[in-house]
Amino acid sequence: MEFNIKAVSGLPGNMSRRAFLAGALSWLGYMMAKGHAFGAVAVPPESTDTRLKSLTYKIEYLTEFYTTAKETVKMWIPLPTEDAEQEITHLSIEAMYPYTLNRASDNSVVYIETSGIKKKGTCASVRYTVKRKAVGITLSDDVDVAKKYLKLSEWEKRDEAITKYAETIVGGETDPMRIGRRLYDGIIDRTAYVHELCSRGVSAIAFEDKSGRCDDFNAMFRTMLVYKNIPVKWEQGVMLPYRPVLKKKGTVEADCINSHSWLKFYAGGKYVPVDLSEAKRWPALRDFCFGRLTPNRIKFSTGRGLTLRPPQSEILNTFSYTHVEADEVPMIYGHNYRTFIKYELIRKEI
Amino acid sequence: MNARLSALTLIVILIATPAYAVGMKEGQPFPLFTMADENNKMTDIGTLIDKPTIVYFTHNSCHYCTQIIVLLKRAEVKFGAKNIGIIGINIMAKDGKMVKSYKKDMGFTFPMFAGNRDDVLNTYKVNYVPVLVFMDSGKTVKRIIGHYIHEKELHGYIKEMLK
Repeated sequence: MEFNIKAVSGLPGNMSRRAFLAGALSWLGYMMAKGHAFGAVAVPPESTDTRLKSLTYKIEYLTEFYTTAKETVKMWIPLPTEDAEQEITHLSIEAMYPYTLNRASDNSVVYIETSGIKKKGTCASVRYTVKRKAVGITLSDDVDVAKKYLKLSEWEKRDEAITKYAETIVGGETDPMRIGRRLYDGIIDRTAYVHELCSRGVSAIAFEDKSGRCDDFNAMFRTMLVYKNIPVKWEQGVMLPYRPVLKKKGTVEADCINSHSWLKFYAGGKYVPVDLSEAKRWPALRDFCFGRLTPNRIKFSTGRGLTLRPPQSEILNTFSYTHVEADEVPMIYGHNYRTFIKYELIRKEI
Repeated sequence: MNARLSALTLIVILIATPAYAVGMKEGQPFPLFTMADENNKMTDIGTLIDKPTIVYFTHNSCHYCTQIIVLLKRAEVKFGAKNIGIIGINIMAKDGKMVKSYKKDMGFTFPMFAGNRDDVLNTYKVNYVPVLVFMDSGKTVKRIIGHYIHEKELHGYIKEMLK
């Protein structure tokens, strides 16, 4: 197997100038691919992105080690969700150590437990074909299921400032759809998007900061809607490039920066998808992202405060890239290991 | 060489983003806590701030944070541990076990503490990492950097702090 990302191995710790340069260029490439080099909106999604019905990719999800380990190492590799919005076929797994496939309705994983990492390099390769459809409003009359999305996670803090703001914006409106739109617009208007940070997605801090990434936008929206007794479902995955910068083949690092979340709120028998941070990043998509999602993404998990199968040492905030523990201590992403998504676009449906 | 300089120049431009850390304000005292080190020994971090000091907030899932650890290690050598203090706070770590593992893996000796506590997180209000806080020996915050930093920029802030 060939891995063109090997050039950036061994970056931290004893980082050489060459390695630093390789890492810097990799980061630069990532920033440009994300469309925000030099702080500008470099390549906005064309209107065709909003007309796409589906994108089908061949995916290779790689977990690579840059250090060895003598401890007992446990690894949870995310498997993409299989549902009406995302079809998975041709799943195959290659791993250096024995693994189990732990499927669940929400968060499926490839689980590896081994007495040490003996060799640097690719530890596991999960291959599949994913057909990701454009998502719109879906009907559901199961109110009891929806009600489970009324529970806030520990990162969604509701303080006086947030509730006061929600009351002001919502006013006397009682229709869940219109409440959603008012808070969607309000949060997008008052919040700056930040790019190159790993965020915890704490609603109270993001609200006070008036800044955030996807998790922060969504934490605020969810906190406010739940306060108005509207259920909101959290979905998490990785964003792939929009069509203007989408290559036939490419590699995206599945890390805390490339991780992406979006929501679906329940409004009178309908789930309404919203992607606040993408609407912030791409103003032309603002109306589109209220009620629809572009298909250039892969969904890996649902919810926050996750316990995987088998349970990891402590709950995870979100889950969209491999979680690794050595003797029940989370290993250091970027130093001990990294995860990459190699994609090949094989079909687009308009 | 030219390619390298160009790449580094681009990075300097890219890092020009604002800082976000609303729990700490420039010109105000740095909030102090007693926290667990890698041996679970509780230490009042105020006792460690007897010279210009950098407090670095990070956690185990932050890729770019590991690069800043490298820059901090080099800065400690360049400017001398007698002249600048460096304190790490790992906001994912609930106790010394993760801190110990982090210090061992990243190979540094400056103190690091377990910062995944409600009182600590609520006071510092660190929603993002990396965050660097520069302070004088009077424990007053001089500057907060809430983004990746280039080494030259880091050295510039340290020189400013040492004046």
